Amino acid sequence: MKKREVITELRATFEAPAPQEKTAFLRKLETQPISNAAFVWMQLRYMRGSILLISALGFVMLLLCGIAPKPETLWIFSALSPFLACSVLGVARRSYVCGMEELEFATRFSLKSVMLARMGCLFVLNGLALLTMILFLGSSGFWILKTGVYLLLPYCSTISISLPLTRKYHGKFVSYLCIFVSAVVSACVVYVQINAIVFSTLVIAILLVAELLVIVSESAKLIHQTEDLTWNYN
Amino acid sequence: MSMDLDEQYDKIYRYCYYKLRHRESAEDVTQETFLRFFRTYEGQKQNLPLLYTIARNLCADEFRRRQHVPLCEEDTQFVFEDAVLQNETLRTELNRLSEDDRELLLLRYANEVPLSALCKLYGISRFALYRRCSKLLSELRQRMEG
Repeated sequence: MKKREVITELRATFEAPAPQEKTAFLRKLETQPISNAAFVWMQLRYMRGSILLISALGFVMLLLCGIAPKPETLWIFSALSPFLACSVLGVARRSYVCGMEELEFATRFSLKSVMLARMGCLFVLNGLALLTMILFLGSSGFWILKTGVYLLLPYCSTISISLPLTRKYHGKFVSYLCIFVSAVVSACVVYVQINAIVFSTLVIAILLVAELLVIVSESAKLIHQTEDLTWNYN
Repeated sequence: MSMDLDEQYDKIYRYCYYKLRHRESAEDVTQETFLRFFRTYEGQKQNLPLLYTIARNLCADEFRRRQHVPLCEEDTQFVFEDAVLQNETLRTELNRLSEDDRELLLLRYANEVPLSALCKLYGISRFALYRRCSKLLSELRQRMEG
């Protein structure tokens, strides 16, 4: 008698009668309430390491350069901020890129909650980085409002252009599209800096408000879209 | 918790059933095991040894409790022996083994608990555990052939 045969016999020998309350118990177990903080922490652990690393690196770099700012620091980070925005969009579309959205629909939480928690974490991280930079530069002689606009404008531009694209298109193509948009916005910032192009305050203010409106509107549409797709969430 | 709940439920239930030899008690203990695990130990790295330790302690408590309770009909019928042990030769040979050895065979080969988890559960080295499993299996083979 072979070893494998003995193991097979053992498995059959130790077979128990089917449990009666398994399904009901597991269903009850999986719907136990969870706190918001625990949920966000859980989602944070599922986020791709590279995306967290990009955000953390951006945060540390902004912090280090903000301690001893030079005149060109503002422009450098103004040109880099679109890539921070790109990391947020990467999280938003990861499920679609990896073809995992159906699995996420079928799990304990809705896709909307999962996506908002992950995007929220990165938004908070990026927001903290930008706010720290604005405050550091503000305390070092830069005009706070100007610094804020210079850093936020490219960031908001990237998100407002990329969000409609990510909502419309699916697959890996969207990731490349987001990176391309970030690169174009970044190049525009560099171009404006090199050619010393000056925009009026009114134009910048209108642009920023318009971008914020687009972001709010597109986010609402994105949430609505994920709600439509949650076919088995209750 | 990085484990398949559905699969682990069956395995813990099988373990409890083998220990208690009573379907309803085994199912109660299995559910209590998972509830205690999620209440206290969720997120810890050593999931399986913890689950089996909880199950083993709860089975011991249940067994102790049942000694003071009159046996019901199902208890006296030895459902495990008659309905589950189908292979007569193997059943006889398994009954000759000690309780600990039978438990080890169940965990290693029926429940497919990894060696690393069993090492934690029994508090012995990987090598010692591997030797013990291999020895038990070859003894069973020899007896069944002879």
